[in-house]
Amino acid sequence: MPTRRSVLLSSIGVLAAPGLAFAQPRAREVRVGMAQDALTLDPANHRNRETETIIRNMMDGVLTRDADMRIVPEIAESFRQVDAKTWEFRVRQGIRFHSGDALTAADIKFTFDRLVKDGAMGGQTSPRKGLLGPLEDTVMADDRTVRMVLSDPWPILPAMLPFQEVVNRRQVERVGQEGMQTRPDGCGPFKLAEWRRGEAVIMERFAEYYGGSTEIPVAGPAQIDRAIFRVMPENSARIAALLAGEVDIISELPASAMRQVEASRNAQVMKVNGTRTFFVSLNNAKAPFNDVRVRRALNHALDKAAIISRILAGTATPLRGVMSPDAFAFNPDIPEYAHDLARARALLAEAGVAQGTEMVIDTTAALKEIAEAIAALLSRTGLRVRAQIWEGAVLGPMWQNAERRRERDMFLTSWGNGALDPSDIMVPVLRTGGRGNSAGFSNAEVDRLLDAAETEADQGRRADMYKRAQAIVTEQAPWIFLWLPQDIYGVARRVQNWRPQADSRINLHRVRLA
Amino acid sequence: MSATIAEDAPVSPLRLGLDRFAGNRTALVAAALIMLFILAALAAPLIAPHDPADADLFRRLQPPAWQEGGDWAFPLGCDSLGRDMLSRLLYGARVSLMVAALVIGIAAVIGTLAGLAAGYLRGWTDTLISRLVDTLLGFPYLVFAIGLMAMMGPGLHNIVLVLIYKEWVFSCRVVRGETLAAREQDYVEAARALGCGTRHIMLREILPNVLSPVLVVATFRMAYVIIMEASLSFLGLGVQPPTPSWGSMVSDGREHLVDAWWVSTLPGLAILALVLSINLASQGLRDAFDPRLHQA
Repeated sequence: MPTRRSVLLSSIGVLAAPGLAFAQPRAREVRVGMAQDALTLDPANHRNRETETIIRNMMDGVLTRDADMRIVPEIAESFRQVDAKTWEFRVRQGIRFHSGDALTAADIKFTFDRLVKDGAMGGQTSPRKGLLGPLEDTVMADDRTVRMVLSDPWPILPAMLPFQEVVNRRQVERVGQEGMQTRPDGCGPFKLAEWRRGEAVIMERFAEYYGGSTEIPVAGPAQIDRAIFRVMPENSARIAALLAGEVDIISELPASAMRQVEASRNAQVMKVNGTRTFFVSLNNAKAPFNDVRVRRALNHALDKAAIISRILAGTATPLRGVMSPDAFAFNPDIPEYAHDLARARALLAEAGVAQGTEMVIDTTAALKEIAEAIAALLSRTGLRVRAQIWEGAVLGPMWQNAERRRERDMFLTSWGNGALDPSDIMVPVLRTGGRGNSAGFSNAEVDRLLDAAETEADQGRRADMYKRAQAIVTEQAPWIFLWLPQDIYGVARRVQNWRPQADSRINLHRVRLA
Repeated sequence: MSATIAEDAPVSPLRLGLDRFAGNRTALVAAALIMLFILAALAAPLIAPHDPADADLFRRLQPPAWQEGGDWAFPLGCDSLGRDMLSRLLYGARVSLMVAALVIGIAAVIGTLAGLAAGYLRGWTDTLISRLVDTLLGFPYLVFAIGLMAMMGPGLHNIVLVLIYKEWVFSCRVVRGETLAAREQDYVEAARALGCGTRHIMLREILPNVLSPVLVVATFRMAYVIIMEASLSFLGLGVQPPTPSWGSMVSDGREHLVDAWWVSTLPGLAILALVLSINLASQGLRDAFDPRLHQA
C-alpha cells in the first residue's frame, strides 16, 4: 500500500510532468529551434529554405554538398557530363525508402518529371521548376542509369541538384498530391514520426538508411534516435530555450545575443558566411535615381562599416558588388565606393538634387532597425531619408511590378544565392525584366554577358563573362551595395560533429551527442 | 422640514461631485500624473534634450545614466540606433495622447448623437443603429483593427480612423440606454406638451442629462485606446518611423530585452503609468458622479 507521502510525491510528479516533458535529460535526441515551421513536407511544393532544411533530413537528393560547399554524389554513385546538354547519373543500389520500397532509377525520373513537367502535380506545376532551368527531360538509360537532358547548355545543373529531394513514385500514387503535403516518403537518415503544425516536426532515426554520400566521412545510419525541429518564432524564446538546454541548435541567433550565448557554459556560437546578398534597390526608372551620379552618391554616403560593426556585431562581409566572395566567378578587382560624405554631397549637387529632398526606404518589419540606420546615415548628406515598414506580402509584389513601384524610391531587400553561382542571382535580379529585378536595372551589355554565360560550357570563359558583368553592375550602381551576412547559430556544446553550412541546411545525419 | 435645512443654499450636483472627487486621494494623484503626462507631451519640443530621430550608432544601446557606461547627457540611455530614450519617450507621449484624445473626442460625439437618435426616435433608426452596434461589438477589437490597418496601410491618420470606426459604439450604447429612460421622464413629457421640436428635446433637454455617463465611459475607453495604439504600433501597423510611439519602442527593444532592458521596459512602464492613472482617475470620476452611489 502506498504511504501518504508517496501518494503525495507521485501526484506532484503527475502535475509537473507536462512541464518537465521538455526539460528532462534525454538520451539521444537533438532538438533544433527554428524561426519558422515547414510550409509543407512535399519537397516539390515550396520555395522556402526552412521547409527545405526540415525536409532534407528526411529525404536525400541525387547530389549533395559537404560543409565546405563541395558538390558530391549522394543517391547517385557517380555523375558525368556527356555533352553540353546531357548529364549522366549512376544510381546507387540497395537504397530503401522509409516505407520499405526500393529506390530505383524510375523514382529519380519520376521526381524530376514531377518537378519540371507542366501540370505534373495533379494539374499544377511545381513552384521549384524554375530552380531546374532548362532541364527538359529525365530518361532512364537502363535501370541503374538516368540521363538529364537540357534544352540549352546549363553548366550549373550540379550546383542546383542538391536542392531537390527524391520522392517515392509509389507513395505519390498511394497518398496522392494532397497526401504528399503531410506524408512524404523519403530515403533520408530520419523518418517522419509526427508533424504538429506550427509546433514541431518530430523525426525518428531510420535504421535501414544506406548511409548517405560516401565522400563525406561517417557514413551509415544516423547517430541519434530522434530529431525534432521546434517552431520558435521569437528570438528571445529560442535563445532562452538554448540556454536552458531545451533545444540544442538554434538558427538565426541575433548578433546582439552572441555574447550571452558565448558566456553560457553549455552553448557556443557558430558562424558561417551566408549566401544572401543584401542591397538597397534604387528605383532606376524614377528621378533622381535614374541619374547614375545620384546612385553613386548614395553608395559613397552610406557608412557600411558603422552598421556592420555596430548593429551586426561584425557578422557580415561588406560587398562592393553583387557576388559573395565565396561564389564561383567572384570578381575581386571591382573598385569600392568608399565612404566619403563630401564626395556624396558633391555628386548630389552636380546631379541637381536639392538639400532636404525626401526619400523613403521601403522594407519589412524584420529589417526595420537596419533600414532606420541606413536612413539616418544617408540623411547626413542633407537629404531627408526615412524608413517605411510594410507587410512583406504587400511589399514584395509591389516592387516586382514596374507600374506599382513607379512612385517608390528605395527598397531594402536581399537575394539568396544558394548555388553560389552568378547564374542563380545575377540573372533573376539584374537581367532586364528578371523576376527579382526590383531596381528595374537594364543594361544591354550585362544582358548579353549573362545570356552568353548561361550557355557557355567552358567554365573559364563563363567566369570571365560574369566578372565583366559584375564590374559593369558596380559601375552603374543600380543598388546601394551592402553586405553578405554571416548565418549565426547557437549550438549546445554536447552537439558534436556538426557545423553550419553556407546553404543554411541543418543536416543532423552525422551529429553525435557528447 | 426644519428651518436651518431649508435655508441652506442648494449645492449643484457638479459641485458635489467635484468635492467628492477632491476627497479621493488615489484619484487625485492619478489625475495629477495624467496632467504631468499631458504637460510633458505638450512641452516635448522644449524639454526634450535631443532630437528624437537623431541616431548615432556609436551611442547604440548606451545604458541609463545611473548604470555603468551611462552618461547624464542621455539620462535614460539610448536605443539600438543611439537615439535618446528620454526624448523619444516625451515625443511618444504626444502620439499616445494625441491619438487617444482625437479618437475619444470624435468617437464620443458620433456615439452620443447616434445613441440619442436611436434612443429617442426609436423605429427603424434604432434598429439600424443598434444592429450596427451589435455587429461591431461582435468583432474582436484587435483583429478588427489589424484587418483594417492591413487594408488601409500603416500611419497615424489611419490608426485614428480605425479606432474611431469601433470606438463610437461604446458611448452610443450608453447614451441610447440613458435616452430610452429619459424619454419617458416628466420633463421630456412636459417639453413635448409645450410643443418643442424633436431636435430641441434631444439636444437641449435630454443631452445635458445623459452627458455625465458619457464622460465616464470616455475616460475609461481612453485607457483602452492608448493600449490599442501601442499594440498596433508594436505590430508595426501604427505610426511610421522615425516618429516614436511607445508601442513601437517596446517592439524595437524586444531584440535587446536581455542585454539592454531599458529600451523596451521604459516605454512599457510609461504605458503602464498612463493607463493606470487614467483608469484610477476615471474610477474616481465614476464614484464621484454616480448619484446611485450616494443616495444615502
